Amino acid sequence: MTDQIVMPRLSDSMEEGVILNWLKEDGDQVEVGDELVEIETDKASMVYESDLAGVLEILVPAGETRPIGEPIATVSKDGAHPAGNAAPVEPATSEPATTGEPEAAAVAKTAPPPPPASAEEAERIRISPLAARLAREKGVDPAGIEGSGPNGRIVKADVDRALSAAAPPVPTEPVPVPREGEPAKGEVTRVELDRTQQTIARRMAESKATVPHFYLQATVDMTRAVEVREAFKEAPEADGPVPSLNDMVVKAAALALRHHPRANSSYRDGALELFSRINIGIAVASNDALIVPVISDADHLELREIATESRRLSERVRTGEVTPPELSGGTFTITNLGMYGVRSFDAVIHGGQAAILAVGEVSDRALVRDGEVVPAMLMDLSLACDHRVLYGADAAEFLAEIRANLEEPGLLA
Amino acid sequence: MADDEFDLIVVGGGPGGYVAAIRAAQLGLKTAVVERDKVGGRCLNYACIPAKTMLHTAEVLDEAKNGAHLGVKTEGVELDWKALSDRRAEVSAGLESGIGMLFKKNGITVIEGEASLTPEGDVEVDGKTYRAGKVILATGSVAMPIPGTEFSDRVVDTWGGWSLPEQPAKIAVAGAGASGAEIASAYIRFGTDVILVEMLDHVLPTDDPDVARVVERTFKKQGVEISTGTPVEDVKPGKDSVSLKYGDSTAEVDYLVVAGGRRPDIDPLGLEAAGIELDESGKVKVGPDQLTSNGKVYAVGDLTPGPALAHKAMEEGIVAAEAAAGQPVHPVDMDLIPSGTFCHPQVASVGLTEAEAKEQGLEPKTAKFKLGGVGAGSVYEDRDGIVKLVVDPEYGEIVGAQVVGNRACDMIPELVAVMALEGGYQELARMTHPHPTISEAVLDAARAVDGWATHA
Repeated sequence: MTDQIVMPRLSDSMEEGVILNWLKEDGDQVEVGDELVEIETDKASMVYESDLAGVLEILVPAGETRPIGEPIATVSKDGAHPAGNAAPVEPATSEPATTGEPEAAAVAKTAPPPPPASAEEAERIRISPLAARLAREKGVDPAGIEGSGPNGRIVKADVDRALSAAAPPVPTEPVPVPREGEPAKGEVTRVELDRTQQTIARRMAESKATVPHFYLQATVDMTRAVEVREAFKEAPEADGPVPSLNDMVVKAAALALRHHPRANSSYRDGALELFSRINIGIAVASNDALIVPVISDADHLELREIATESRRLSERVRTGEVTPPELSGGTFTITNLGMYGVRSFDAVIHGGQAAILAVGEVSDRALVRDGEVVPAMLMDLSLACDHRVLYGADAAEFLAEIRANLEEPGLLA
Repeated sequence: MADDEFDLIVVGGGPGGYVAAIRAAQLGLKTAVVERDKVGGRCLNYACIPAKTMLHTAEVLDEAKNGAHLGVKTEGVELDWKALSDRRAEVSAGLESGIGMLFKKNGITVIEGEASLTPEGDVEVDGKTYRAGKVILATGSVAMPIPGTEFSDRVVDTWGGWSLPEQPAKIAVAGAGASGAEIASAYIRFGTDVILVEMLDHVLPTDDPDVARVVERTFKKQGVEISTGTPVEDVKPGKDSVSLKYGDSTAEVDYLVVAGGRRPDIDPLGLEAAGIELDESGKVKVGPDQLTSNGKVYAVGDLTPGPALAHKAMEEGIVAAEAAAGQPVHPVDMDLIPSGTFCHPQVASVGLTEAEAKEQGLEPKTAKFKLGGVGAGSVYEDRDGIVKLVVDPEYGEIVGAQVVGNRACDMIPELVAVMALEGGYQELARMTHPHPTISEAVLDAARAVDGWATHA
C-alpha cells in the first residue's frame, strides 16, 4: 500500500514550493509526525511533518520546485522499498499498468533516478527562448524579472526593460577615468538575494508600480497613551507583557477599521473585496528580510492580548520559526520605525491590501494647546492609501479615527 | 434595457465587425450590428472569398489541362463561366448565412441600414436613434480609381474583375499588388490574355524582390504580359472595350481592372461631429485598445492604420470588443500580421523583409531555401518556391519571413507562431517537421542561417 505525499499548501498565496532539504533519506522508515522535508514558499521556509508512516521514496530532489498538489514523495506501508516492489505505485488516476509487460514495468521502476535537473529546469521559469538567450548573454538573472507575457512568461521586452533599468545613466559630462583595473565604484561584491528577498523585491516593485499611492500625515498627541502605558507597568505581571505604544496603534487602527471597511479591503480586477476579519500585519525586520506576521482579529483582542501576540510573533520571526499561517491573511499593515528615531516616513502598501500605516517616534515636543505652548508626547503617522480604493476624505476620516482612539486611550485599554 | 438601447453597437458586419459582435456577445454585452448591405462584408461577399473561389477553379482547370505528365489525360476540358459564377455566389451566400446563424446563436440583433454617429456617440440608422453604451466602427474601405479615371462598365474595381458577366478575351490589370496579381493569375489560367501593369519596379512591389521574382517568372511562363515601372494612362472607355497606354505601349482590352489603393469608408459616419480624429493619411486614430478620440467609440480594420487585411480587422475586432466589455486588453501586434497573396504560386509573409530590416538599422542575416530541396517539392511540383528568413543575428530573433510556393499561405502560420512565441531560428532549426511535406523547407531555411541546411 503506497500513498503519495504532495507539495502541501503552506500559505494562502502559495503557488509552488522549493524542496530545500530532505530531512529523511530515500528508503528511510518514517513515522507520523517525523520531520520530513524543509519547504520554502514565497513567504517563509518551514518543516513539513509526515502524516504517513512507512518507507519513504523521494520523487523530487532538493533544490527543485513543484506546484502545490504535485507528488514529491511516496510512503509505502508494507515496509518494502517501493523501488524494489513490483506492485504498481501509480496514483489511482493513471492508466493501469500493462499486464503483458511486467518485466518492462519492473525495469522502469528500478531504473536509476533521473539525472539532477539543470538549473534552468529546477527554477521552472517561464521565459521565451529569445528572452532566455538575451538574459544569459547579458548576465541577467531571469528569476528577478517580472514577465509580461501569457501567465507571466518573460519575453524579450521584459529582459530589455530589466537591462535598461539596470543600465547606468548616460553621463552628461566627462567622468574621471578610473585608474586601469579599478572600476569607478571600486570593487563590486555581488550579493545574491535569497528567495524571500527576491519575493520582497518583486512585490515591492509591483506594488509601487501598479498601486496608485497617496499619503496622509497626522500628528497624534500621545501624552495620555504614554500615561496609560505607565499604568499598565504598575499593574500586576500576571496579565501578560506591558503593551507597547505600537500595540496601542494596532488596537487603535483595528477599531477604526471596523468603521472604515474600505480601508480593510483589496482592489481586485476592477472591484473591491471587503474583508470581514480585521487582521493586522506588523512589519518586523529580520535577517535582511522584511517579514510581516499577522495579528488576527485584532479588533476583538484586549490590548494585553495584542501585546502578547505581537511579542510572540516578533520572537518567532527573529528565530526563523514563524510559519506561513502566521504570515497570511493580513488585511491591513502597520510599520513602525520610531525605535530608530525616525520622525515620519511613507511606506509601500502590502499587496492585496488598501493601506499601510507608517508610525514614527514618540517624542517630547512643544504643542500649542489653548493658545499656550505646552510640552507633549507627539507621534507622526503617515497613512499610505491605494487611490483606487480610498479617496482623500474617506482616508482622512479613517486616519482621524485612529488619532482620536490614541488620544482618548481609555477606549483601547 | 429598451429595444433601441444596446451595450454595444457595431457598425459594419464585415470581418472586423462580425467577429467583434460575437466576442462582445460572448462576454455578455447586449449587441447589435448595423449593416447596409450583406453581413460578412466586402471580404466575404466581394473580395477575399469570391477571389479565392475563382482562383481555386483556375487551379483545377490548369491541372486538368496540363496533367498529362502526371498521368491524367483529358480531352475537351473547358471553363463553364456560368457554373463558376454560380458557385462563386453560392460560396459567399453560404458563408453569409453562416454568419447570420452565428449572430442568432449569440443573440445579436442585426439592424439593416446605413449608420451615422450622433454627437453623443449614439447610432442613427434611417432616422432612428439607437442608444449605445459603446460603439465599434468597422465599415471597411472602398477602392480608389487611378487618377484621371472613373469606374465604369469597362473600367472596374477588383469586385468588378471577379464578377464579369462573361469570360473576357483580354483584360488589363492596373496594379500588381496582391489583388492585381490574383486577378492576373486567375484569368491567365482561364485562358484570357492578361496585361499586368505596375507603376513600381516589380510585381508584388511591397514583397521581397527574391520572392516577387519567382512569381514574375511563373506569370511570364504562363503568358502574362508584364509591364513594370509604368503607370496606366490615357484610359478611354468605349462601348465594348477600353483603350489605355502604359509606358510606350497601347492596348485595347475588354476590361481594365483597377487594383489600386483603398480608402476608409467613413463618409456617412459623421466622425467629425462625434469628435473622432483622423491621422494625416485619413485613417481613424486609435490607441492600442482600438479606442478613438471619442471615449466610447472604437474603430477596427481598414478604417485604422495598418494593412487593409481581413484577419487584421478580425483580431482588432476581438481587442475592441474585449476593451468595450471592460476586459484586459491584448493589443494586436502589428509586426506580426501575416499577409497572403493567393496567385500561383502563392506568396505569404510576416514581419520585415530584408530591405525593411536594413531600413530599421538592423544588420540582418538572411537564409533562403528552395522548396525543390525537399522531397515534397518534387512530389507536388512545387520546386521553384523559396522560404526566406530574415534574422537579427545578435540573439537569433526571426524578424521576418517570406514564403513563395503553391502552399505558402498555409505555411506562414508556423512562422507567425515561432515569432510570436519568441523562438529564435536556432529553436526552429531543431523542431521536427513531418515528412514528406513542403514545411521541411522551413526547417532547412532555419538551418541555412548557420549554413547547415541538410538538403542544400
